[in-house]
Amino acid sequence: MKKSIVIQSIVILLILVTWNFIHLGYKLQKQAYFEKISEVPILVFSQNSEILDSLKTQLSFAGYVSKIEIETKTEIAEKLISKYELNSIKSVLENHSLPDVMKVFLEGENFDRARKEELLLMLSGTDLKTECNPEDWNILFDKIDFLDKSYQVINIMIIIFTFFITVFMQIHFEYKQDKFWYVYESSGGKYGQRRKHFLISSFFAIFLPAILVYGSYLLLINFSYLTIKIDITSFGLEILVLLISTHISQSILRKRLI
Amino acid sequence: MLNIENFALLIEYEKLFTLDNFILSDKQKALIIGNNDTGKSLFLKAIHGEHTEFEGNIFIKEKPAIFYRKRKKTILIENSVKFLPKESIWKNIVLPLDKKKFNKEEKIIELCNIAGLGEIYNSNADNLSYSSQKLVELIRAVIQQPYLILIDDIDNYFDDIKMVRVNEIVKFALDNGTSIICTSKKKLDDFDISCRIQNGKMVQL
Repeated sequence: MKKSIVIQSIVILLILVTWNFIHLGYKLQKQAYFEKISEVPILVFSQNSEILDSLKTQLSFAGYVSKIEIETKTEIAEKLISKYELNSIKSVLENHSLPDVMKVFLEGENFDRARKEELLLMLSGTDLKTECNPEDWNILFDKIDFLDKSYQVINIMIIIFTFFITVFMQIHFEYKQDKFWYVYESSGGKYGQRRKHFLISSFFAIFLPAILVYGSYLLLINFSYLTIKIDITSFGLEILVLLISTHISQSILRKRLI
Repeated sequence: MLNIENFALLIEYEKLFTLDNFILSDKQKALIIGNNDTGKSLFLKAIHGEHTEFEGNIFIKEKPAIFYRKRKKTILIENSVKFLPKESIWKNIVLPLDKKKFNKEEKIIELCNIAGLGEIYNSNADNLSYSSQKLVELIRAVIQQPYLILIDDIDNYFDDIKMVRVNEIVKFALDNGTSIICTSKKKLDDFDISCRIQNGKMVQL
């Protein structure tokens, strides 16, 4: 019996570890896509600093903008002069009318197709010139959509696999103990012990690996070995799947577990 | 301890035998004698609560037999061996005992010695003879001190020499307050009550 609990625990532990690695992989890849969106700012040029100020106010209320920087024409001229040592032609630069520049940094997590349209509409004013590449965003959005769909499909497959493997193992090992329980019950053993034993062994075989995996995850987070956080709902889903599997096994074994 | 009144054992609505009254007190052992197909085994099953097709009343400690189905105050030792051959003799004996309240090691060793299993109780049970397996079953039943032990066809398992050992183990059970009912095809000695099933009726001898 102990052997069966150990085998079940190991199998469930492997499933849960794999499952959580998939959660982590998904989170990691999605974060990489978000960073790609965040790392390149949108440049907005305008001769009119008031328009940029009003746009900044507007954008600061949008949930998908992480940072906005405005550089005036004077600042830009000074930067250029000091960077490229253009003191000799300072007067030339001062005579030219440079635009003010606003850098808009996006928050990848909160930026999606609908917000992209909203942003492009805001930046389409007549006195504005924008430098951004919506096509790059579209490619990233497509990649994120594909990642989300793949993640969902993999999750569904793991759920089905976990259901089957858990129910199969529990039924298989319980059937193997039929002789033991027959002898136990007919020789005067306590009524209801088999059911009690099933629930206890289910706890050790199924929920102990779950607790172990969650505990390890918390430790890794606590000691900063892991920077990406898995949603608590993912752990909840894993426990729920195991609970439902145990319930299904219990229903199938109902007559045996009296 | 056991009180049976106006009893008729039925099988598919036909009466196998009837019994007017049967009373077994604490620490008593009774023998039911009968040929094949007279209903001896079913009678034991009816007392044990496994066979419910009967008329009349069976009371164990003033409660109906069915009351004990989930409380296991009777133990039935049937013809078929209920045994785990891959486990040790010891494990086979302690199998149904509550491990938290386990304090019967000395008694088990004593009974194993009586049964001639004292030297080998830690070894695997798969090489034991049929009669020794039945002795293990008997020790397992006795050590639990139930109200009643029911042994079917006792003359099938034991020869005269082993019967002496059985009687000693049974005496241990009786001393601890357990009552015993055995069935047999022939009359055996040393029983407080002997009954015979004959011509559709069970009568006390």
